[in-house]
Amino acid sequence: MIELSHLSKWVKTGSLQTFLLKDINITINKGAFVSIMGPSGSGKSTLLNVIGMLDDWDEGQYLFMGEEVGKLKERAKQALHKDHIGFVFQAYHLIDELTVYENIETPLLYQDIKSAERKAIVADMLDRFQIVGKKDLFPAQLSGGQQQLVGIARALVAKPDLILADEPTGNLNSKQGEEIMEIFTRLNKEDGVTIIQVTHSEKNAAYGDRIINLLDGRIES
Amino acid sequence: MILRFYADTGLTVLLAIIVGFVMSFGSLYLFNSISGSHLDITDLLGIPTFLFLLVIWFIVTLLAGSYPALLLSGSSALQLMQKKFSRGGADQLFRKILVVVQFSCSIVLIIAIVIIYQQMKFVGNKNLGFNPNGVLMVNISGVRDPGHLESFSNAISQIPQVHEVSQLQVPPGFSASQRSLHKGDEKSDLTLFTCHADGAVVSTLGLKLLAGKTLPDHLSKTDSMVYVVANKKVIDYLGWTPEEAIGRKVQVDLGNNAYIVGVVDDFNFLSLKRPIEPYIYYAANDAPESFNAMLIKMNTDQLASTMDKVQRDFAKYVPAVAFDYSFLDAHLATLYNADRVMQKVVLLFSCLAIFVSCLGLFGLSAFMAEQKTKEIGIRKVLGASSFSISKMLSLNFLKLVLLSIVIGIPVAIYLMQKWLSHFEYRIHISWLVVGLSATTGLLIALLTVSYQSIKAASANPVNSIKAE
Ligand SMILES: Nc1ncnc2c1ncn2[C@@H]1O[C@H](COP(=O)(O)OP(=O)(O)OP(=O)(O)O)[C@@H](O)[C@H]1O
Ligand SMILES: [Mg+2]
Repeated sequence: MIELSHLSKWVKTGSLQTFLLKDINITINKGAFVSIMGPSGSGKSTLLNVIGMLDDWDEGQYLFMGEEVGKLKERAKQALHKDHIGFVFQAYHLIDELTVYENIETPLLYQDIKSAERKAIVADMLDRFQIVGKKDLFPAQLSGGQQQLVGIARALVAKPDLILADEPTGNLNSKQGEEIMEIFTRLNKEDGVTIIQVTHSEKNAAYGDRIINLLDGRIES
Repeated sequence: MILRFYADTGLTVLLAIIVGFVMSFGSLYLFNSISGSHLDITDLLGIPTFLFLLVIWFIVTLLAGSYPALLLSGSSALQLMQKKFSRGGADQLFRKILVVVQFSCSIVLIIAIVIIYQQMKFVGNKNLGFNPNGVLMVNISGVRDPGHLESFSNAISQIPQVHEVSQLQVPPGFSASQRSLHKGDEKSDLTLFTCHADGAVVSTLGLKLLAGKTLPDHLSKTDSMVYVVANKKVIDYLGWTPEEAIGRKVQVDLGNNAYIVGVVDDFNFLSLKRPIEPYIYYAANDAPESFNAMLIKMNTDQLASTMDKVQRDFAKYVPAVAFDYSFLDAHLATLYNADRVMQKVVLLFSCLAIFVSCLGLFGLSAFMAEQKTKEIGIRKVLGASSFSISKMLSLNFLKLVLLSIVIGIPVAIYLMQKWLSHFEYRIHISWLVVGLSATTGLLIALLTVSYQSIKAASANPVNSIKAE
């Protein structure tokens, strides 16, 4: 499903070239559950953004479902986002002006789903993450952990084939973290959803079937 | 901290005033040419102007500076860090109200200018009941000898382009004598306008004869009758049909011997701002009023040469009197000069107002798009297309513009109805026109806003998301 070959990304400050990603080669098949680990600043989020087609790179090739991402038009990428990818951001990135309910509903608005059906799906999500009571609150009125749950619910609501999760459990207690990992595992096993998660926790990484270690923009193992 | 806000605002306002002041020199010329006034540049440089600008500077700085100063210094550091204030209703509401006010004014002006144009066109095309086109008016009030005029009249009648020649007290568009129209032996009477004229007046002005005939051209020396051609208003008041009226005696303060010989249809002998009132043309020996104008109805195809001949004949047969002339249609147009100036001024202000409110909209849309960059980025990641995002942003403004339209339309209709009420003959304000004008405003607004919307929507999402 995802194939990165000799992919590098750098920034230039004056004459100094700093690699954010260096010579990355990964193949991730459909239905895989991959954990990315590495110290802070090693480029995990950067890699996830590239995989999610949110960010450009400078060298190398990226094939997504057989298509060369570098040659895709803006519109095509947008269609892939809409139909295939769910993001969980490290910084949650909820929409401040919308309630919890509306935040979770947003991806469905772009999916051609009838209003009644949307209601049912969102209600189901609120239930699954035990945030029914918070549905009319705004993100600013939630704790960090609660915002993170909303962010995960939003990523899953449109039933994507690929979930890109950047430290999805960073602000959750270990019990909540386990629950999320179980949800991910179930999606992965039962629905064949491909999952790529960034995590600092060995325990959470172990839920996946493969671990990629990053250090200074390179793959260690 | 607060002082800094005032200093910042003060500087901005000062710059704006200087720019505005310099620009006013240029616009002075434009204003003069439009309104026909004669303001001089030196009028702008007086002490009062500078004092006025100083006061404006002070007030605007105080008002504009107070807002952010109070807003920011009133919020705690925590609130600022959480950026609660920028989302806060008050700030945005204020901006929105400003935009709505500006745009309402534009809508009012757009509607006003269309209606004014319509009314002026209506005035220009209205059937007056007579035909002023190609009617030359020559001032003959200074001519002592009627024989001169007789020869002049005979001479120009030979010119093929000249169709009719008539002498009368005053042409339409000038005020005639006011007398009273009496009915039977009733005490009440009606204001009546009278105009001494010869028989050719009906054909020269193209008046429509309903019954009877026109005034006689030559009266015998002993004739003591007063011959009257009345308009329909007169006989309506007296309760006669045109046919019945012929040969009847009328009491019009012109002696006891006035008889109707003809009846013409009503015509607008004054501007369209006035209703049609009773009017008569009369002919009599020893008339109390003399002829002041000669009307020459001509074919204007070869105007220059015709005018040349007329002028030469005038000089030949009426010596020592200046050839003072104008055209009747041009004179009638001057009755609406004030309205025409208003038309131009409103047009100018409409353009300015639309420009300024577009600036306001542009600023607000830029500001909102800026505030929403993160949201836009997130939405794109969640699958929103650029189109749906620019639609979302534009719709936001559409609401404001629609509100402005809802406010602007009644105001415009009220003001225009007031203006139109000065005209006895006026157009009806049509909803189609109002709707089209409002739609034009809407389109202009959408065009303004869509630039920002499209720009914001097509930005790369990751940049906006990362820019935390
Ligand atoms: N646009 C950029 N310009 C310059 N440097 C950048 C840019 N984006 C990221 N970096 C740098 O790239 C490095 C990797 O960033 P990244 O966010 O991928 O780290 P991370 O592995 O996700 O860290 P964390 O675990 O803290 O989230 C960091 O050193 C960061 O400063
Ligand atoms: Mg990161």
